[in-house]
Order: sequence, then C-alpha cells, then structure tokens
Amino acid sequence: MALLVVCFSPSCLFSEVVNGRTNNAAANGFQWNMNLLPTNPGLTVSGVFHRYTITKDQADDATVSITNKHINGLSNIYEYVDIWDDLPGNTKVKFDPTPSLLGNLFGPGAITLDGEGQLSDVSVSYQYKYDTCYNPLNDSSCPGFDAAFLQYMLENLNNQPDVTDPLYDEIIQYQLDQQAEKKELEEAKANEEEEANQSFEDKFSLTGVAQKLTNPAEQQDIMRELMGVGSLDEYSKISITEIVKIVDVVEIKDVAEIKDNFRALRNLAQDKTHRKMVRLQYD
Amino acid sequence: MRILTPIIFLLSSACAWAVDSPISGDVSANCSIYTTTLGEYGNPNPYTLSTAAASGGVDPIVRVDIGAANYYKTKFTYPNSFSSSPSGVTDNLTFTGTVTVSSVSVAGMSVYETNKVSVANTVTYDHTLAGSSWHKITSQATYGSADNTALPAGSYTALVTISCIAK
Repeated sequence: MALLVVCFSPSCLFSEVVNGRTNNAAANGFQWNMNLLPTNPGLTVSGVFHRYTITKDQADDATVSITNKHINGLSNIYEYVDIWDDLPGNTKVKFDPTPSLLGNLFGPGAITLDGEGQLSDVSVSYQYKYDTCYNPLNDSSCPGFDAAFLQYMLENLNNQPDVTDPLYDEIIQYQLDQQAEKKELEEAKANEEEEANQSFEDKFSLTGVAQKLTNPAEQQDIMRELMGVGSLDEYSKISITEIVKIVDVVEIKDVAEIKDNFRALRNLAQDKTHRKMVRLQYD
Repeated sequence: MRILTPIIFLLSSACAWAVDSPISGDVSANCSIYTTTLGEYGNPNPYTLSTAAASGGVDPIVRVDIGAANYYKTKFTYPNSFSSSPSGVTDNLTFTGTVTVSSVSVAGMSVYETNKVSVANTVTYDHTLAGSSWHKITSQATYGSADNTALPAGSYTALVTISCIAK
C-alpha cells in the first residue's frame, strides 16, 4: 500500500528500458548506413536478425557474410558468415544474439556473397535496447535528475545558455527561479528594514482606517495593533511599588518687557476671518 | 550394567532392511514443433481444393526446433482424406501433396531437402544439426472418379500430422 502511494505521487521517479527492432536495413540494397538506429544515448545492439534466399547449384561454393564496420573503420564490429559450399540453395532465417554492443560503434553494414550464386529476399534488422534514463538529464522524472542537473549547472555556470541545448528551457527556468528567489529575499529584507524604521506614531496611525475598516481581516489587524498585543505587554507587567514625588521646579522670573507673540495673533486673526467666511455661506 | 547397555541400543536404533531413495531429474524438450502459418484450402474450380496461393489457398508452414544435433527425426504426413467434410461427399477423392524445407536457421540444414525420405504421403527428415527448420506443406484434393464431379458445398478440413522421433 505504501509502495502504491509512493508511485502514484507526482514525484514518482522511474526509468524505462525500451526494446525495439529496426526496419529492414537491406531494403534499398546490400549496403546500408546505421542511421536507422535511434540516437538515444546508451543504446546497445543485442542481436541481428537476418533472412535471405540463396540460389545456387549444390556443387558450387559460396559464402554469405553479414558485417558491420566499426565506426573507426578499421575492423568489423559485427560479422556473421554462412558457408554454402556443396549445399543446395535455400532460405536462411536466423536471429544472431550478440553481447551488448554500443549502437554508436556500429559503422556501415553490408551483406556480401563470395562465390557462385545469387542472393534475394534479403532482410537484416537490428535488435536494440536503451534506458530512457541512461542520462538522467533526459527527463526531469528520471531518478538522479536533480543531482545531475545541479552538476550540469555548476559546470556551465559562466556560460550563456545555448538555444540548441536540450536543457535550454530548464536552464532558463532555473535562472528565472533564482532571480525570483533573489528578488523575494531583497523585498523581504527591505520590508524588515522599513518596519524597523517605522515610528511608534506611524504604527498606531489611523490614517486610511476608513478604507481598511471595510476589510474584516484588516479590521482585525487594526484592532490587534490598537490593543497593542505583544508590544504593550512589557508596560502592563510593570508595577509601581514606590511613589516618587516629582517637584515642579519651574520658576518665572520678572522680566523687563514681555513682547506680544505677533505670529500667534496673526494666526488667530486669520482664523477669525476664515470663520466669518464660512458663516457667510449659512447666514 | 554390562547387560543393560546393548539392550538399550537395540531398542533405540531405527534400522531397516530396505530403503527406497529417490533420484529426480528433468529432461528439457529438444524437439519442438510449431505451426507458424495456418493452412487454408482455396477452391479454384468446382471439383478442386488446393492450398496453393495461385488457387486462393495458403500453404501451412511448420517450424521444427532441434536442441541437440543428430538425435531426432521428424515425420510429416500430408492428408490423404478429409477429417471432416459435408455428408454428401461420396465419390472418389484424389489427394496429392508435398513437404519441402522452406527455410533454415543454419546453412547446413539445406541438405535436409536433398536427404529427405518420401514414402507414400509421409516424408521423413533427419535433423543432423541443432537449430530451426521451416517446412512447407502443400495439399490438393480432386473430386470425382472420371469426370471431375463438383464438390458438395460445405466446410472441409484435413490434417497434416507431424511427429518427432528419437533416433
């Protein structure tokens, strides 16, 4: 049950081994290139299937060879030989299993007849297999993808992403995520600094409260702030055990002349004029 | 004490006069026969049934897998009668047929065709090599004693019998 839960979760990682067989390599002639194999990394050839008909007299000698050059061109990576000396012709069908050979080592292939006779109805195909997660970077669902991707990023940290890179999208997304994360951190830091610089009056200011009151959540926050939850606790805990008498020491001494505060008088005059103007609208 | 000891031994030992001790073992099949293509009769004219492609039929093909060389022969018997046919088939039926090696997995098996032994409607192959060989069987039935009478309508079935014989 636990296994089922794990495998149905979105983060279930898996790799798949794909087995397949190529089309007839000899469909267009007795020589062929190996571009008929898929290009998946880690692909191996596990066998070669062949079928051909040889027409010959029994007394004639003939040898049929099916070969693939090594990609370096120096030797054969695959070779299968049928000797038909003193044998009547027939149709030959065979699947020749091979030790797992890397597909990218296979060079051009051919079927050749040395001796007397004729080949017809030739079919050669390659049995192959590969792991879809041979390179974990192939798919984000592959086991080990995160570690491989991190390693890849570290190795290409200073390189501009190339649009031909199969991981181009992931790299761009990674960079965008990094930038977004950095921006969030900076904003969070700026908010913290702003809050630290806010004055006590700002914190308890009721400016804009009318708008906030329409929002129940805001209203609750305001009430919480007004009640000084947390911030006034230190004050409420204090108990005054000792009465301290503060003596008023202000002393007004006689001065020669006390000047009128003309600025205050001017303000009062302006206030009076203003009040008159206002009243004129109603009287 | 001297007397008591041997008495105790005789009573406690589990001796017996005869014991069957089994030895087990398995022999895997080294000769297997599979039908790879099912045969079908075509009806090119009112009095003939034939498996030939030219007559609209299908030749059956049988594969023989030999695991060990030189230990087996196979015997193919192509039909000389119908195993089932409409009730109105009362006239003479003439059967003909062939068995040939159509494909081999080892070049050396191509001599099987040369070395086969045919007696009546039975063909015997000597499997001197390990591997697979494909055998094509043809069958044709002609109805009527002299003037090729039309076959009664209905379903006809004939059987090819193939058996593997240890040499």
